[in-house]
Amino acid sequence: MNDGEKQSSGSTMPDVALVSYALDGYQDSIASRGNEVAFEVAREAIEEVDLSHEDVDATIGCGQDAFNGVTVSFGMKACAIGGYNKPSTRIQNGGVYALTQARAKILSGKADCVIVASEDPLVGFDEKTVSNISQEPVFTRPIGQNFVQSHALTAGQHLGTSDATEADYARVVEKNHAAASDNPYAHRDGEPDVDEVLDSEYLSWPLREAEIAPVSAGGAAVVLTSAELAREVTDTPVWVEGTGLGSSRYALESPETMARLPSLRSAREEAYNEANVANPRSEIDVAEVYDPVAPMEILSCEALGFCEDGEGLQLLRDGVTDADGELPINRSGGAIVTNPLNCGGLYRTAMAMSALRDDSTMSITGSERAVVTGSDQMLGSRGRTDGVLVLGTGAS
Amino acid sequence: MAFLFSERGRVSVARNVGVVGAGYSDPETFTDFREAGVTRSKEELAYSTITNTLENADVDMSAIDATIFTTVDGFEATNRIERTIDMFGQSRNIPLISINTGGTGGGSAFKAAYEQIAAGQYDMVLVYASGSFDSAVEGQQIMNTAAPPLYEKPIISAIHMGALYASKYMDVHDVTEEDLALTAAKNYESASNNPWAHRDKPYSVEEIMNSEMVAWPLRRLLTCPVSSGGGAMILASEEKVRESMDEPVWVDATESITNTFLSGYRTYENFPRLETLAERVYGDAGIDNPESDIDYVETFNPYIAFELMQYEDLGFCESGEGPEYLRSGITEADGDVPWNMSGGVLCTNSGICASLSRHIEVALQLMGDAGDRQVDDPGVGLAHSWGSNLGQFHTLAVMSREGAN
Amino acid sequence: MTDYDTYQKEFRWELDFSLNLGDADRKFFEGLQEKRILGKKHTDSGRVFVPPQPYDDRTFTATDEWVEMEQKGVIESYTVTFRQFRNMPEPPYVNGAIRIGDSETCLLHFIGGLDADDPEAMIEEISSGMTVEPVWSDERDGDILDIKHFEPVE
Repeated sequence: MNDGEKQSSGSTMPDVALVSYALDGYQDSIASRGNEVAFEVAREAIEEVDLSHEDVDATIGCGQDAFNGVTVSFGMKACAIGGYNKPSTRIQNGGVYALTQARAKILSGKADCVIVASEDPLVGFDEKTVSNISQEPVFTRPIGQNFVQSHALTAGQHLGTSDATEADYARVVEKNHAAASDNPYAHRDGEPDVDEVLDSEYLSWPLREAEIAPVSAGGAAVVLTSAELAREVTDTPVWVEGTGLGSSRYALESPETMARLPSLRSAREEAYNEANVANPRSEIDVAEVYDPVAPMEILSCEALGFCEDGEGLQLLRDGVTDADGELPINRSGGAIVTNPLNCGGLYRTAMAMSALRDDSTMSITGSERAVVTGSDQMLGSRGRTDGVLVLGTGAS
Repeated sequence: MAFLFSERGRVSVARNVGVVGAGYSDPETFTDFREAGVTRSKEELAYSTITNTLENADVDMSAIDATIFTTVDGFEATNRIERTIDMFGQSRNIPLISINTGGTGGGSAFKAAYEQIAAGQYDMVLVYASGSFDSAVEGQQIMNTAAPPLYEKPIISAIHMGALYASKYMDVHDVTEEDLALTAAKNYESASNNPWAHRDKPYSVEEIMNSEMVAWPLRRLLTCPVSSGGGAMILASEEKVRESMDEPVWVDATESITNTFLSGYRTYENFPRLETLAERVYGDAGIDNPESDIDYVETFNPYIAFELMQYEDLGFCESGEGPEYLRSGITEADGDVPWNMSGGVLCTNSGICASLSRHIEVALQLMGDAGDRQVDDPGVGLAHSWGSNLGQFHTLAVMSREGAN
Repeated sequence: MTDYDTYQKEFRWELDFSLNLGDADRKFFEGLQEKRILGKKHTDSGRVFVPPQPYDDRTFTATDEWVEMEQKGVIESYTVTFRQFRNMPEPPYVNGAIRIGDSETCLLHFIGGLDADDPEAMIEEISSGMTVEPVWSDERDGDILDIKHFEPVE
């Protein structure tokens, strides 16, 4: 880790706020084509805060061509999210990276209002094949490696080097389904318990289908503005207090690196520095953490500093991370329940916004600060990029 | 907040951003990848590109605190290929941002780096543009998947995108095939001075006009080749720029613009969105009169009619006067505003690298590092990229050397 | 297999996708099956779109009315292709951007009914501004190629 080498500009930067979001779909496959969904959510998010298309200075998309079946798939979406005659770009790492770029655009002085939006239009494509063609082509791909196997290697290592049991992974599934019971955007329904999960078959040992995120179709949009504009358009801005990005090489021969998640730690370091978070366990009230497989939620809690390394299991077992626990992790149910591949980072950000604001069924009373993470781990190893947002109501 | 260029009325941003280095993979990698034994692996290309760029910047990789990678994934043999090449700072866990906006990828990545540094997020950012045309067996097949799948994919392919523009431009303004050939000949002449040019031999107007017709009015020598080769740039905050450069090169302004998606939703005789973008970027950079304020230009000209249209849309001459402007010699090496002294995309189209190459060329010219293609003491340069379905996106960047006027 | 002489290895992405049709697409392609060309209209501005757009890019508001278009169009631009490209017809062929009625958008399509033996003559035979009409396929299954091509109107 070389975090010490990074230069942080500290808290002198002006604020950027998330002022609105809109979501559509996710329960099942969606009936309309991607750009229609993208148009609907983008327009809804803009209108919710009484802004107009003219007020938007720039648009940013997030998502990957392989999840759309169209080369340069952002072309199709750029105007659907309001880009006509405006600056636009597309970040492929996911929603958290895209939100970070939008914030930079505002902080740089180039924009007051930016919309980040995308959609997941497809049903019935094989995400495991996509993750296989994302592997190193000469040595790894011929072995048939995909994201399930990448994560299974990590999980196997985790089981072998900690107190973790397969029941802990099943417990993540039970906890997240219970949390999602009142989430209108829950894709997988039902409330499986630990025994039911343990009774199901392995996909790649030690991972079972229910412990692996599904592919969810829908659209998501988030509007960011400068502090000045935020105060004009909403009484409940959610401030972006810090952002952090990181990348790693996760060699298959080094599962302990994969379990340690150095890219997430590096991103966390940067985001917490900016947001002046010194003690995450006490200063963070809620987190939406990307868990493409159940064990990743446990490991991410450690990488995010919610506990000491090796103690993520205890947080889970003690109910600290339950929806009504002291530090709810994935109050929405997380990716195990709803997993839009392109929009995941936006979806989790929207879920964190609704937790912080007290205007929805998903609100967490008294919560003031949230952490959101995103990664490209639906592709598996060997590369990995992570992003971390620290969001706050400004009350603290 | 510094107002470094206030005398030119530049719009201020939070922090000034400069270019500290620019470079390519080794010259012999800029060729046809299908030629036996001359290409390198993606890793070797990245290593060569980054090493050469760091050397140009005279900085160490450890000084880089974020990397921005751009390609079009369909062109590579691997999806999100940057995740499999361990040369972008993964060993130090620094950010690796992946951008894909089609043919404008280089311009978009340059812009993203500029915004991150101006915002104060990072101090020194490496922008890497993949030489993405070095793996697709047939590029047209992949570019065709960028077309609207239900309406246009069965009807047109990439070459037709260029042809629809060229055809209409010629029709509206009575532009001739000879006008196109003259523009191409100027680019081939320039490319003969560029070690990184793929087509690096001069062609006569006659040879060009006798080359094979591909899609009327575009002949083979009016259309770019498919090239390999990678490119990179290093952008930095003012503080870092001043540490390493005596005559800093600043990014005065950079921005992009978006058009509709359908190929059938275009004005074919010019690029109206480019005109709008130019007004905005010139405004941000404090440029009143492009011909007198700008000393060097690199544009995206894979289908050579584009260069004539760009003379017009970028405000160097009136609508329809492109051929006349070319014949005046202003855009030649010894003219007032040399254009595309690299030979442009017409001579070297290494995929997404080709869009960053425009910015690399402008930066090298301003730094005085352009070798045999160096023009006389340019102070202000303009770089352009064009891409996505039928040129749905454009980007522009204005860079300048400190103290130049 | 690896060809060591050229230092190359071949790869192929085998990916299948199933794309949702939007409401606008569905209606338009149903129209084609019935030999009708439908446009989607933005009532407030009066702007009409063929191919149909679910929204008007410029105002960022939804289009809201279907109109049946006259089966005539004007060539805005065109090209004649001389080389074979994968997934494309055998050359020579003409494709053009065709404005149906007063549509904001052009429909890209092939222009047929020309003498393919003399491709050079095709360049001269077609011109921007020329009026064309659709020639329908006998077998129509809700696809852009339900229109076989457009032909110049005598």
